[in-house]
Amino acid sequence: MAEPLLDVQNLEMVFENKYQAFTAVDHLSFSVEKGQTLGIVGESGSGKTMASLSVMKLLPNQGRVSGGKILFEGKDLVPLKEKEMQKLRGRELAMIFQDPMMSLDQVYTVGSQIVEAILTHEPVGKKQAEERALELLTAVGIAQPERVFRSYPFELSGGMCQRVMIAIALSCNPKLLFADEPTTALDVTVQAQILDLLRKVRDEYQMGIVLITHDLGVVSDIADRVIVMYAGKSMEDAPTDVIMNHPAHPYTMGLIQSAPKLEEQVERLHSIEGAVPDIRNMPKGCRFCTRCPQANDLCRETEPQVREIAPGHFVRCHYAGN
Amino acid sequence: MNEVLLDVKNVSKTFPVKAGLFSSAKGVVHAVDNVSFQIHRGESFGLVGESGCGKSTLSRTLLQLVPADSGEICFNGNNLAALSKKEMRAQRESMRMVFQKPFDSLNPRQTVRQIISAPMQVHRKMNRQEMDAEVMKLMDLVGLSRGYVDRYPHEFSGGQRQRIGIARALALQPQLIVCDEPVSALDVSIQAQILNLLKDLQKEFGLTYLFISHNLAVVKHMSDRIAVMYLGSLVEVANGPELYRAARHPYTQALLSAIPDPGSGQKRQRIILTGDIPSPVNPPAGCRFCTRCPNVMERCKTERPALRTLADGGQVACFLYEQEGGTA
Repeated sequence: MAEPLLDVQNLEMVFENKYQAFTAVDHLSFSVEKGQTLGIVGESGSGKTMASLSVMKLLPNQGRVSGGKILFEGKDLVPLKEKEMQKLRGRELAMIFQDPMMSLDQVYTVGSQIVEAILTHEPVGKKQAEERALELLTAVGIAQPERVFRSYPFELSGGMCQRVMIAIALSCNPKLLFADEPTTALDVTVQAQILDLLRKVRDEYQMGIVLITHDLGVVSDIADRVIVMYAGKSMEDAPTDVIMNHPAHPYTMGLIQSAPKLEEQVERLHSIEGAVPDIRNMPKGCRFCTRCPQANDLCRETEPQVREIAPGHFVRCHYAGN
Repeated sequence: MNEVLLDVKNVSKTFPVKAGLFSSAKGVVHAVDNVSFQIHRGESFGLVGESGCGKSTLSRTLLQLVPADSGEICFNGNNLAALSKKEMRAQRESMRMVFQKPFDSLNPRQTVRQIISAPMQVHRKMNRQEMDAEVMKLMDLVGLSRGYVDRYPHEFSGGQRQRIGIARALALQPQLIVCDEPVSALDVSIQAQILNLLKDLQKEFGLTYLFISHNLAVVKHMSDRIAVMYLGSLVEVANGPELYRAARHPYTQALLSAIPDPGSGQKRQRIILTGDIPSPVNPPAGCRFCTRCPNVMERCKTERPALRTLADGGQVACFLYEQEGGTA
């Protein structure tokens, strides 16, 4: 196999101030190849968004990558200066965010925002950039590109804004796209359109996609491989159909069982009792031990290591696969 | 079970759209358009639809939080629009609501005790001790520790706040609870806890639910019958399992197929709709769904199909099913 597009090794990310530091992402490793989609699934507060912001180097002020390597095409991004990173961002790495309405600037037209992105990164004139912008709007399935080009974001629906965001992200043919909850704010019928579009551009441009979501349904639809995160750590990492059909970690099993299913009727849903532990006060042993139905003294005392229980199937649990 | 608790007949609600602060209305939004349905006592009635289709406006109209323009809403046989303010207030005791955003629907400056006891202060003459006992009972019911009674909403997680909202809704032994997207702001594992709690409470107190959500899987889990809403109108009403097994209206079929389902091993045939929901200010003439419908006929563009009851009791508003027996 060729060198992966993105190879993240033991990424550690902390929030800190003068007095204390909290680890939000703890020894997370993953890799993405060209044309592949990696899904990162977790509940709110699991660190999935911080992991992607670490790679993009867009962390909020108190956040800092404190360990590990982020190899993009073999080159480590961690020591890069902001200026060098700017060259990569947009051209090589792009990101789309959860709330499409909030991530576009309300006082500029959609067209000028796409053109701006192109002019920043490509040595082209304004005229060419505008042509390219219209092409992109057509490529993301917008029916009247000229009209949308002149529109302001508030004149468009959520699905349209997300298409525009994808157009901006694609404007410089990035090799890797981070999509942070790209469909959470959208209706299901529109979500289906957007997922279809992501699949199309991935295959067309041989792009790697990292899809961050809380929705297992979305992941099963589009991802090749899935990482399940809980409280800053990867709990399970396996190909999508393995995660969906043969989950080994109690947390993954709980997540899958707690979502209501369309085709079966159950009286009660399986629920994971309790809530995600506070980042300032993590349990000593396994992060999931406070909510795990199978937890025992070993789990509460000793943090389990990641083990490969089958080829390509990694689990962080003392008992998985036994 | 067969007694009708809430009978909604031809309810419409429009809002004027203004171009500016002082200009006269430019058009109207048809938020709810000629909607009729019945909810029986003890049943869970699901209402599903995409954002902007009018589900929340409908729920607010039912509770008379916004008055309907036309149509009749009968609760327990009383026409709500005809009641005086005082009589309406008495009715409100038995129709309560759980809101979508547990972060916005609780007053941040009140303690849990104040929040849960507020309905009792308004509607009941209770002394302090009685009220406290009642609050504690409610906290136990919804699974909140009694020790939290003097805390403020910001100290709780989303799931716990939704429990507070449910306790408040339960405070006056209501008959009908309108749940407007009660779990859409919660994580999956917490969502399951709240859905289980709602089901347990229904069993214990014989509650009737109107359960509103955009998530078809959640609605199906919770409801006996489901109504599908599109652009202000109901397009289909059916029993939950039947709606899933044999959806009739093309919109329902598309909605079902659009849901990525982690459980199913095989991929279902997908119907991907083109375009967005049309603007409710200027809805398409004829069938509301005609601009996105894969089975559209010439007739759909000019004529509007009525919601018809078919032989098996299901209702659908579509010309495709006109040949099948039943009544308009």
